[in-house]
Amino acid sequence: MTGRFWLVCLAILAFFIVALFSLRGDLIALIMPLALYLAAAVFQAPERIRLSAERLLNSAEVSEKKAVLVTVRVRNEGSELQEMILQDILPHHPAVVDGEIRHFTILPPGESFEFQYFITLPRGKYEFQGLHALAADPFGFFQSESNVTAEASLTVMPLFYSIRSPIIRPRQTRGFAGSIPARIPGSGTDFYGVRQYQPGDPLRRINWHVAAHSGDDLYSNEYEQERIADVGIILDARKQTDIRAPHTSLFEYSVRAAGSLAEAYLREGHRVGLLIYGNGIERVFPGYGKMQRERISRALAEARTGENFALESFNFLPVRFFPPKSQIVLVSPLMLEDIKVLGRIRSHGYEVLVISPDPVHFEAAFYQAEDIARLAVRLAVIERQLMLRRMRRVGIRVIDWSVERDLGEVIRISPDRRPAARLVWEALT
Amino acid sequence: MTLTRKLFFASLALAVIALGAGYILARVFPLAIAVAVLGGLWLAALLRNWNWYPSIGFIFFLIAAGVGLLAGLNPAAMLAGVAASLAAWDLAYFDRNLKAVKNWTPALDRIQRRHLARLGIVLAGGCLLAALELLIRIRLTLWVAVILGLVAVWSLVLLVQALNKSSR
Repeated sequence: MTGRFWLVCLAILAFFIVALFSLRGDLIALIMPLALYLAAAVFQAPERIRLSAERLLNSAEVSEKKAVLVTVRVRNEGSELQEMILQDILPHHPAVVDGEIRHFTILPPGESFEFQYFITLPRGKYEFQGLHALAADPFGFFQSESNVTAEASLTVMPLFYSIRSPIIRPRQTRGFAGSIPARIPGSGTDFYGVRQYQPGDPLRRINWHVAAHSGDDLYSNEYEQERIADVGIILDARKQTDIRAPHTSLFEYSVRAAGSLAEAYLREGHRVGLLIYGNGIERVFPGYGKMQRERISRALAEARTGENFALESFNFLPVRFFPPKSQIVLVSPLMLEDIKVLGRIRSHGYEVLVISPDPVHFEAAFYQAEDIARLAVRLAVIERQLMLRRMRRVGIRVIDWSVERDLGEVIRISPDRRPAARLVWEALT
Repeated sequence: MTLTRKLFFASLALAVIALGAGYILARVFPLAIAVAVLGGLWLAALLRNWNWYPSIGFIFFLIAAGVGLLAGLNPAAMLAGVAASLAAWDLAYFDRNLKAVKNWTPALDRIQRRHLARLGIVLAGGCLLAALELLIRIRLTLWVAVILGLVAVWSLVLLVQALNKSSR
């Protein structure tokens, strides 16, 4: 019973009492429309809602910014529901919805009602639970409500940047041909050394200059073998390294960068694994190809920052998860105390490359350009540059990424990608 | 503009005119103005989405009709005022439900027609019964009044009990 019911009851009662005390029969006449209105509502009061529902998504996995078509079909298993409001319960607020999620309808027994809408959600894994049904008599005196289960799950994959992978030089490569110089002679393109001619060597490999200098012997050029490598990507999901902004966070950029790097390395044929370190330790075992890309995308879709006292520093980073002497690519805004741990990882034989989204400029973009803020930003930039310099001194390659810039472009102009001659020129000038 | 809203305006206007005319005919101008102001506030409530106001307005209109009848104003005007304000109150509620849905669908058209038909029947029936009552002129003696009162209280208790049971 709603407040409307009690209001009409009270009105009737009040008129009645006044009529009785004043002994005025004509006041009873005013009660008639109200009484009939109340009686009509009583006779049409809804019974218990008995609905079944199913939900269909046009895709269970989509990439960010792509709309999903949600179809909800509700069937009435009970008596007639005359004026019913059906409202779908969204798994995330706010979500961009194109279409109606709230419907006002009649549902006769045994009949179905179907509605559709498009929804666009940010990266993540979502569980649709059900919808809320509220049935009432035509005059809104009696209401019956129920939550109807209509489950479905949706994974929204992160968007990846189109990038070329940063150059890596792990100390150990795998046995298959790839793109990484393996520090062993064989068939390749880069010059590796000269050895004495052996019967069977192609004539075009003979190094005639060396042969002319040596007298009788012939010498052949050797080339460096190029192989695939193991690449372990570590995504820093510690809450203290994340910076939150009104509609985004630095972590979102890290996620996209990690996914883009994984995609780029997988495209080159490398074996790639993923470790998400922060809230807990999520891992995707090293693997190849498109399936591995899917596995990594799914893991990144569900990646969340979190606070875990045990994982506040990289001290417990389980690097043994990756093969020995392999390449580790860490995507992290970095903290000062990380230098020590990363240096230790490097001393264990791993090559470490850090892609570091710049938290200073990201956060500074949200402050007003006051003098004091500008000074603070300058100090923070200096502090960060010093930290990165210390890290480079330990032998860790760092790509400092200001997130408003294109990651592909930042990688392209990073020192490892530039020709040596240009680097010398830049150093001289 | 939906049919519901048009009928709401019509009902509200009718309620204001009926009650106002009753008071004007009896030369009680302040109360006629009060009724007009209440009607104006109800309109403002609709435009400003004051969802709490329709019930308040409805109560004031009922009080105005009751007081008018006790003061010996035209009973037909007071009855018309009650019926029209009841319609306006109902349509304000129904309009709020319709407004919650952004896109108009054929189902909504069907619901609207059914709702208006039901409301029309209920109001017509109520007015007919009331008119009969006014024509017959029931004379309430003390004993009839006491018996009617007991019957009313008892039936209200039974109704609430039955509704409580069915909602469980």
